[in-house]
Amino acid sequence: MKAMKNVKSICKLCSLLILFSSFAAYSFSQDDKEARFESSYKLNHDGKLAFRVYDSDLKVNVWKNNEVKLVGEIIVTGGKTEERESLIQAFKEPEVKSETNFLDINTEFWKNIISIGFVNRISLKNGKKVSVTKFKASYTLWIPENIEFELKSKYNDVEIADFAGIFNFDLYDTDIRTGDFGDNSTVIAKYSTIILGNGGNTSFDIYDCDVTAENMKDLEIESKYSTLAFSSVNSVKVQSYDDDFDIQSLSGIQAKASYSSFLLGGQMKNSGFDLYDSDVKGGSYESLHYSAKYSELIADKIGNLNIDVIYDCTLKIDNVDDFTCNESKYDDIYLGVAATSIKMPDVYDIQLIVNKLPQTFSSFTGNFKYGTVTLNADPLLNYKLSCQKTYGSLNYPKERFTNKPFLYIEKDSNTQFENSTAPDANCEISFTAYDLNFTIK
Amino acid sequence: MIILKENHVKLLCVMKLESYIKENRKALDVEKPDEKYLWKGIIQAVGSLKKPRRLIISRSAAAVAAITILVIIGAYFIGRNQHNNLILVNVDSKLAKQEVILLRQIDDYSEQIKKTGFNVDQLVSGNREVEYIDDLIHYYSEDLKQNGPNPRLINSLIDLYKKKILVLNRMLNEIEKNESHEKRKINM
Repeated sequence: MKAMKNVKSICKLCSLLILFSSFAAYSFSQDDKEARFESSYKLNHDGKLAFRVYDSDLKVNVWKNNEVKLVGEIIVTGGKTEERESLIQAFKEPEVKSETNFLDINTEFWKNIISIGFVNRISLKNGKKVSVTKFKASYTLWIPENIEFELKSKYNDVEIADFAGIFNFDLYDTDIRTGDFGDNSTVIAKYSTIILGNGGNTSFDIYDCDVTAENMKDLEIESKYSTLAFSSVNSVKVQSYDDDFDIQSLSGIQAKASYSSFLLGGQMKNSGFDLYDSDVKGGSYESLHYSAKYSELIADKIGNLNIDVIYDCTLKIDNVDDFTCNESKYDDIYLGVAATSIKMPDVYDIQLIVNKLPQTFSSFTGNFKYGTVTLNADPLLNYKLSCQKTYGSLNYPKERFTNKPFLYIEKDSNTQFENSTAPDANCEISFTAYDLNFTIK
Repeated sequence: MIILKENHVKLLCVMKLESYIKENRKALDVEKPDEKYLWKGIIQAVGSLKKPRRLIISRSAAAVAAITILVIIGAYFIGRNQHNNLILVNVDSKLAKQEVILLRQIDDYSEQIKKTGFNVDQLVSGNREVEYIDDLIHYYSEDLKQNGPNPRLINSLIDLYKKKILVLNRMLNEIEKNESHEKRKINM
């Protein structure tokens, strides 16, 4: 008897569910309803437009008129006819604040959306509540060419034509493509793809973005987890965490970075890096100030390389004029040509190879503990070699030192050596060492 | 020759018995219940308990119900607290499972960092980075509450959890590097 009752109850429940579903399906027509509106607002050519858009497509055209035109289109799917009409009515009435020099358009027409299964329950800003399956809005703007354009965008696809004014972007999860734009623009973005044309001075504050741009002037970049690629940049100031930079032509960089990589090209003037676990590759520098831990620097040519501290780093520099490293530990340094001088007052456990000391080379000084130093001097370079060492080894081309040493004292494990390849040698190679294998060829 | 009469013998026996009992009272006292008397009492008591038995059952039922309610309330609050941490639980069960796995990993790394006792403010990937990610998670979860799910939003949220794991892992690596650096210094 009990089982029979249960079966009856289940049947009743199923019937109710079927009834409810049929009613819901009947009530929720899946037809699309399309609607469109168009509005225009006056704005001076040097005014400011603030535009807010959420989960839509936006296309921005530029014209010479002193007015802003907004065209909105919407497709609503599902829901009762009257509720769809209410939603469309709310869509057609964006919040607008208009002054002579300032226009603020907020296209978000709802306060709250709750998704229950395939239904979206939407509380509109006008107080009404509607239920629809979905809606998709898109907007087209026409803006004066010289204004300041402030765009607040979330989850949109945006396209903007060439523009002479200022951009102020605040973007969340937005794919944006722009033409050229003017000076003093700012881009604040998270989880966005940003493709820019030629731009003026611009500041970026980005988080997990892909930025691609053409030729830019001076940039200030604060970025995390992003990739940035520019055709050319005048100068750039960077604060970076876990980014990849690719700048084909650059005139100067000041960067503080962790877990980042820089692929750079061009002739750079005064530049500086303060790095942690970051790599810099390419480019030539007139002057470079460098400090790093667990990092790599590969450069074509550096006029004056001044290093504060390096720790567990690899340096590969094809050409350097003056090389100064104030403190080095556990580093691996390769210099193709060291044209003028090398100064290393505090070195611990180094692998240093200088492939060529040309005739222009004038000074090598250092204080070394452990490691290996190998110098390849030009056969025509005359030099005075003086060292004071404990343990380790000193290898030099004996055939080039025809005179007797000025000084040669060997006691216990200490050696003092001083000699010259020619009496008028202008180049001086002088160092103190503890357990260093020193070779000059 | 003394001849005792029968009465006198009886009297003597009684006197000896009394003194014997007095002397051995403790040994002679046995605590054995009077079973007949007891059974009578039990039968009477069982008869009289028929009414209170219902009372006991209903009281027990009430106690069980109270405990059940307490357990349900407890479970609700514990569950609610757990759900409070789970942002994606109302969006999709698969995503919620993924969120649980990521949160476990985060807890695990956080615990490992705590155990090292290292001052994390000295690290390159310090607490500020983690706090920033937490702020973003809060921002996106509020957006989710207000505007409903959105594929880009969900992707960003999941990615933020992954970033938090990445940063915590880096913090652990940096602590390890710092400690090996200290060892190198000592070796010098």
